[in-house]
Amino acid sequence: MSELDTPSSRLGVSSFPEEGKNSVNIAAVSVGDDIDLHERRGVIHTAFRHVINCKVNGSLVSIVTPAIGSGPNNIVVDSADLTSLTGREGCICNLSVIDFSNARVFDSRPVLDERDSSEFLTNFHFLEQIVIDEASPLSCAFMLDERRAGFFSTPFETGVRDHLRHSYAGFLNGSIEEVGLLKGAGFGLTPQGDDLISGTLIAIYVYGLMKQLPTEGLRHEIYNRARTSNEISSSFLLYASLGRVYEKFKDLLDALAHDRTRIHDAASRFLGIGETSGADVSTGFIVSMKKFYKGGLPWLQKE
Amino acid sequence: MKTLDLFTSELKVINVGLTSFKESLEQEGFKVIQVDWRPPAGGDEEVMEALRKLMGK
Amino acid sequence: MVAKGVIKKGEYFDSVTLMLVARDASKIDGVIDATIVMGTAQNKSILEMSEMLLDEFRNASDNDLIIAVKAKNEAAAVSGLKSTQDLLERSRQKTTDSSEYMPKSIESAFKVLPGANMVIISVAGKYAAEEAMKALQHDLHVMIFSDNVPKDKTLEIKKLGREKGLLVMGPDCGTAIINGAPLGFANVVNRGDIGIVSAAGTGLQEVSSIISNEGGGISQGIGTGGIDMKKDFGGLSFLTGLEALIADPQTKIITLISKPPHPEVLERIGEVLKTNKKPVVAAFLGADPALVKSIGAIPASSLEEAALLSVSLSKDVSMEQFNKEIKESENKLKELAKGLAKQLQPEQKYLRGLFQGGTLAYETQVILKDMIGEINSNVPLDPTLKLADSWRSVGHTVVDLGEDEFTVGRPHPQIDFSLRNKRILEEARDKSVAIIYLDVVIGHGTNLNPGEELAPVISEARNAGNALIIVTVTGTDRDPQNKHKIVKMYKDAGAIVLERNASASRLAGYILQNPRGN
Repeated sequence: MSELDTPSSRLGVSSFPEEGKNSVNIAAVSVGDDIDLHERRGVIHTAFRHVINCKVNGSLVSIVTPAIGSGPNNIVVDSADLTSLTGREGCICNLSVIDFSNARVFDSRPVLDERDSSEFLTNFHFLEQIVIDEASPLSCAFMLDERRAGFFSTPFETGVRDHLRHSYAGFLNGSIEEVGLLKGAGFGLTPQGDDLISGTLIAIYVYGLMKQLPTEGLRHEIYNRARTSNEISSSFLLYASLGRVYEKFKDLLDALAHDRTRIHDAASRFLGIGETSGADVSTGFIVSMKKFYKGGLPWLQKE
Repeated sequence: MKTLDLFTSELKVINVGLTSFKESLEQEGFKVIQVDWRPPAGGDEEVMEALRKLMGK
Repeated sequence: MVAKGVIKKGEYFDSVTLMLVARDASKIDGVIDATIVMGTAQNKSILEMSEMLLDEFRNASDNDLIIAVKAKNEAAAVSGLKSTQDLLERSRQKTTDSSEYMPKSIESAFKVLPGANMVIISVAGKYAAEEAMKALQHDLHVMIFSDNVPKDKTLEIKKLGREKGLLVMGPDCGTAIINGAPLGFANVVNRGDIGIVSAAGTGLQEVSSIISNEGGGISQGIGTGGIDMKKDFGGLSFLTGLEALIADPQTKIITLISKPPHPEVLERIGEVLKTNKKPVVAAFLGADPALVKSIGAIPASSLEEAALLSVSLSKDVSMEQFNKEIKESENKLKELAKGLAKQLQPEQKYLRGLFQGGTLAYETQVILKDMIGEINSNVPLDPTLKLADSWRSVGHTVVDLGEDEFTVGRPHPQIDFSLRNKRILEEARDKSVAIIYLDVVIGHGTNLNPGEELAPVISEARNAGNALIIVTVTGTDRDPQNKHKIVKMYKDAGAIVLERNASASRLAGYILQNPRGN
């Protein structure tokens, strides 16, 4: 069997292009608002065709294609794929090879406030139905419609399903320590449990915005319990806890709050993320929001 | 001569703007690619200024 | 049952891949269950419950990938595990591009389409210049549909194009036909040996359509935009286009279209033509024919004449024969005029021309000023004849509905008929109106249903009053709209339909010169 390396070196490039060697040939279209452009050097963490994750000064910065979209820590470059930029994991990534002069800054804060509350609530059920109909089989959408539980067949799959169901329910009932059982559980590079927690974190943030309640401490605590050494997943959890969203989710929230004609398209695009990530974050968001609007934030009840 | 090169080669078009022009060309069987164009920095002078400052220009 | 597994350290796969591979692995002969998950504490506990947690997995970290296979027996488990790993490796090579990539700039578009040779720009004027410069710097020819490009930038672009020998078609260029391709608002015409350079968009459409309809063909239709022939821009784009056609072996006849050029520009054209041996027909609408002859071109007094002349030259028809044919069709036109004039009432005196195409509005005024006298307009030949209110006709009136006062915030009249339709009915109710004159320019980029959207209004206008309705249709049978059907619809609705603006204008002129057909 021939040795097949990581996607990066298979593409024939062994190192990130070097500054000064006529290499500014890729233009940034958008720069996330959490990125500090003064920090130009990092180390490649993981490299895929559409995403290159770099550790820059301790945080994850992702260079992505337009298909992936903007985000608080994303640099969207104008390229169909990243083969011209990529390198081996561990090699230096030098952001100076990217031309930022025409890039826009992506504002990762959702555009929502308490005035959007009623429209948001009215439109919510549209989103729920779309997720139930369109989410992939092994996603957490069974938590929205029990008929989907049948998609899980092998012992491992049913094990995953039951574990997620149980620990998520416990968490949402107020047992914050259940985060420890939820994290890392399930399929995917960002495990399903992590995605559910992300969905909940954003829901707490949005609920706080709509009801004008302080939720920073709660979100911070959940994040601390949820983080793992999976840096990619932890990065998503961090931004979720800060109330910062990625472009596709921002569009979805915007549609829910302001324009129901766009909900379906925005939801479909969000559901297309990963195999189940989009669906799992959506499920977490929906289940949590419904719970909060019924009976408030469950963890704050315990005083 | 560059115009002669154009006249004797296959026409391949980059379209920046109205998509109907791309559709017309495709209808007649010509190769065309659409640029998803946006004004630089959203056309917002303040943001452009902020970006320039950020990059130490 | 036997479980086998392996840890992949430091290898990352996107979740779609993981899911697909796990699904395929489960279908392998003898495999009961196959799973690929991150080595987190929770996943390990679920694996344990499924009796797939091997000793070697216990030290897996959050970042490691666990591949676990459960099978009927040892042999099946081993081969199942190997197959799963193979599937994973092979999956790296598959592209999972789901959405179509749209480049965000000319540079990246050029990477995707490396043989690109033309850029069409129709973004807002203030940004168009920069895009055009980028295109020229990449050695690409450019068509700039945008207007309101700052003057200094316009000059810069045209100069750079001329220096590099690249076509700069525009700014404000609505039409071009390159290598048979319709660029902007353009018609689908036959290819042939007549090359056109035009500073007038609808002018190019009219001439190319008539040439094609008469059995001739177009090699290239180079547009330059309306402002090119002014002193400030010195005909820079026009000259490059002209030189290109002189050098082009496919082009045997050259046709030039414009409003009268600035004298300096005319001189420059004369310079270029000095070494030219191909016949040149010039429709510089309204210009002194002697001046045109002096630079070595054959003057045409209308777009129609330019087209017909060019076709004759292309087909080697003698001038004698050509003039004979022209005279015959003119007589027919006069006969038609006589018959139509009889339908008019004494109080019907005026022409109301409502135009989509600016060049056609101009041409009609040039033809009719000597036939019916003063014509008021929002784009008058004589500044003293400017309409006080473009929305209100006075006496003989020609209105260009493509002008700014009508198009701010709405689509061009070649696309959106509603404004003109309203105006048609207003004119129809005015008892002093003798002729309502309309141009309909079809082709790519324009309204796809000109028949359905105008014919009913023509009917209604014919019922509302006694005005004759003359329609001239510019286009060919190969255009996306069905020209035959459209012409029939207008005729059935009660209009007189021609397919040449100049003839239609002269028809109107003959009718008004001799009302009631005496």
